[in-house]
Amino acid sequence: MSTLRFLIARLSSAVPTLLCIVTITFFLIRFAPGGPFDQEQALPADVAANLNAAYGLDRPIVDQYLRYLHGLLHGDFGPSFRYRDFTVTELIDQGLPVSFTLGGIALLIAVIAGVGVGTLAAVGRGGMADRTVLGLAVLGVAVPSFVLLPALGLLFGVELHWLPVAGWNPGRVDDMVLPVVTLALPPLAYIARLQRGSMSEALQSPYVRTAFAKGLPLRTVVLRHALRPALIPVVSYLAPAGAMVMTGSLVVETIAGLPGIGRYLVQGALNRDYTLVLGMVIVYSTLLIALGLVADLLIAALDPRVSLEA
Amino acid sequence: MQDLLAVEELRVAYGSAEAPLEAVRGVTLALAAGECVGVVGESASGKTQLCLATMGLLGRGARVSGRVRFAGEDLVGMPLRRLNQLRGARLAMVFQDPQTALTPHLRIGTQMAEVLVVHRGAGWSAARAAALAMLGRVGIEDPGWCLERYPHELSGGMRQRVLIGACLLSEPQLLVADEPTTALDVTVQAQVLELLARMRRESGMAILLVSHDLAVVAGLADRIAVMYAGRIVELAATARLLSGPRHPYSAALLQCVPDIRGPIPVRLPTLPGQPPAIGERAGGCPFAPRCERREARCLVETPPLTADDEGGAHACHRPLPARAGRP
Repeated sequence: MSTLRFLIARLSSAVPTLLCIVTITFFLIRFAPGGPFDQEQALPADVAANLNAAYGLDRPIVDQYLRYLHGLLHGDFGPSFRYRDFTVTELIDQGLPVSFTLGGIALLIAVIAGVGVGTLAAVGRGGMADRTVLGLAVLGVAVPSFVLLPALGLLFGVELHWLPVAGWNPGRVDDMVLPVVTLALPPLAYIARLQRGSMSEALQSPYVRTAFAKGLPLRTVVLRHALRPALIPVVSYLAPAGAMVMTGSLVVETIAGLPGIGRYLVQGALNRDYTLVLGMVIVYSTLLIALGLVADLLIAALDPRVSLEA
Repeated sequence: MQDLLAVEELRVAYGSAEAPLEAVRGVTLALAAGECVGVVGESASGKTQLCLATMGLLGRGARVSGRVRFAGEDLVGMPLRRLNQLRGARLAMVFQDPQTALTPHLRIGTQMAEVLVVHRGAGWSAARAAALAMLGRVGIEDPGWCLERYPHELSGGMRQRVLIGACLLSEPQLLVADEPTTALDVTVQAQVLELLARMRRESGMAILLVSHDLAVVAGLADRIAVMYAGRIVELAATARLLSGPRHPYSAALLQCVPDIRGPIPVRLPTLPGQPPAIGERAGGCPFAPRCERREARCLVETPPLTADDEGGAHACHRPLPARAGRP
């Protein structure tokens, strides 16, 4: 059961990692000037004092930190400072499924399409397909999502009336198409380039030459002999790709008016909504750690020479 | 009788058309069915390129001219579909480095069985059964265990046996072996050569055996071709070449083989200098700068490969004298 032991070791090492992230974020955001209740007009001193007392901000900072950790252990992310009447847990509960669906589908499309397109480019290296893929990949990485999404909306929404430009109705697939495409494109482009490189390299390798010498058809050589080794760089890129989708969702959700959690990170930071920022950081770090773990498991599954060691 | 393999004026060049880098510069060589021809030469003499051309495996950057006829069909410019029907089935190749020549993520059984699946339309289980039997034939002690292993779990010698076994599954008429023992320990080398010899006896296939090591080739080959700078400089029956080389380069190669039986020389004989770099092959005999017997015209005029009266051929303006009273 080396896989199980690996999982346990990795999951238990994730706890100190998260603790470090929480600690650094907690104190960093506190060092930022301003506070959650600052407005254009200063609050009367007694109102401010009452607010601070109600949220525990008048206590020593270390005390606040320990109380926050205590709450975390019980699954309590604390109350939001800015979204009155909501706890951070409630905000995340509402927004996460939307963001998770969008991001998950986008990542899946990016990986599948990126690998497919990159493989085609590598097999037809130097040809038309290859140059098309390379060109589109540069475009995909270079065009920012705040340009791409409005442009797509203009074309498919305003001009062609095929898809809604913005908005969100739970369960409606057509609401998701443009945001998902916008989210998927940058990591797709990057993965396509990665896959093109690693597949070209795999196709030059001695064992692929052996496979050709056996008279195997090109498709068998590519799929059976070259694909798995070529996938390893792409799999290693999963966590950074996840981060790319997450940062993309900040912009995309705001532009498309989607009720996800992407906007909370930026808004929370701007508003000095301490607990919301911390909650978002925890969610995102957990996702990235989980993606890294999945990547390691996949690499071990792809290459029998890799043994899982924490 | 028709030759099984007939290489005619084969040229392999890389680089631009204006300044081509020729790796193989007009090689003509024939193998009869069941014959073993050894090809010997230093690194970069074009041996591997010759092998790859024979298998249609040269990369996209290579420009090939001349002919490589296998059983009458020209492999140069052959459509990939037809080429794939031949290679792996009627001609097969063993590579130099068994460490990298097997796909790391596939089990040995799969890598052997797929040859029969693709060429004979065999089912996987039947093909694996054949692979199992073949592993026994190539001298793997526990074939059942080996069948389920990944390449990295086997030793170099076992991997080379596996590769040879994979080649023999489809009973090819020609085996191209490019330095099949170079990456192996000396004791394992001997075993692998013995295996090749046995398989040749059992199956009657022809072998194109390439090595930089004369001793490796000498034990197996009926004839030996000595290559230098992309050309064959001498071609002769093995016994004749070993006992009376005509080309000075062949003679120098033979002198460089140390004899462990005699007294140990103070300095091992070596051949001073090095072959011309691939881009620097001007006119004249390419070996001339290192040749003790060179004369003025050797530097200007490239000697053609001319048949001698003993069934061999050499490309030299001043060949060594033929030995009288040879076997």
